Amino acid sequence: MFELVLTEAFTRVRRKITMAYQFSESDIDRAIDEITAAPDAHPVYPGFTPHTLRKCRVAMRAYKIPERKGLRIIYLVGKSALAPIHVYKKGHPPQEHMVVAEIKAQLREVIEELGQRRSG
Amino acid sequence: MNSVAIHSGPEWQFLGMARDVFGFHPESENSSLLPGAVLSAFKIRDLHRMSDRSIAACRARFEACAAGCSKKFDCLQVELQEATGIRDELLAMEQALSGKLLFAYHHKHISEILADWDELVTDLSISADPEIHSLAAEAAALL
Repeated sequence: MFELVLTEAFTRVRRKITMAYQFSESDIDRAIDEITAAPDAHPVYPGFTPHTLRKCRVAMRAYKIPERKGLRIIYLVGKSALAPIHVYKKGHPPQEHMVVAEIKAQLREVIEELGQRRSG
Repeated sequence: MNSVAIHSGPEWQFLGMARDVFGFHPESENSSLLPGAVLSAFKIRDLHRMSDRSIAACRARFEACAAGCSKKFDCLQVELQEATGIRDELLAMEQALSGKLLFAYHHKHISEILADWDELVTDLSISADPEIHSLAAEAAALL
């Protein structure tokens, strides 16, 4: 079982999503439980090693939005711990370079936060 | 990953089939499109299945992506270009079919195929970015 590391950076972005889609809280909770139980069960981004970057596609049941158009939770899997990095709704942002920029920003915040936890 | 094997594989050739399906120019308002529309409605399901298989094959390759591949980013850039080309052609098809009642069935399938390829392009854009790799490595070291 992997240790789940929840960061304030992820919580912030999650709050933003659930403000727009308030009935998706339970979908995100369920997805995080699934990720923690089986981190390798979701699609991997190629080339990341020895850690892996993966994503979980989440249907938004209350809104009848299927996985294909639903939420994406991007998470990082280390040796014994995993951390959700980002969550966004498919198509928002609409272009891939915007998604890339958001993930970079999230990763920077996560690094800063984990660094502070370690030094503190 | 072996990009030569990837791009000569049959799964990348499904777009040729897509072009065959729409070889009768769906953007035309000509009423003689009806036989073509009926015939292509059968083909579109095959096209959708072939697309699903192509994407599954790509994902399987990603799982097997070698740890010590020195050409990692070159290979991913090639894949990204290929996938972006396919996505853009599907987008053009989807726009050509949009709002045409005769092609509503085709439009539904093409929209779904487009969403899948769009997702693949996003995934490859993330993976082909060296800065994300270094940031992920830094974050993983702190976990």
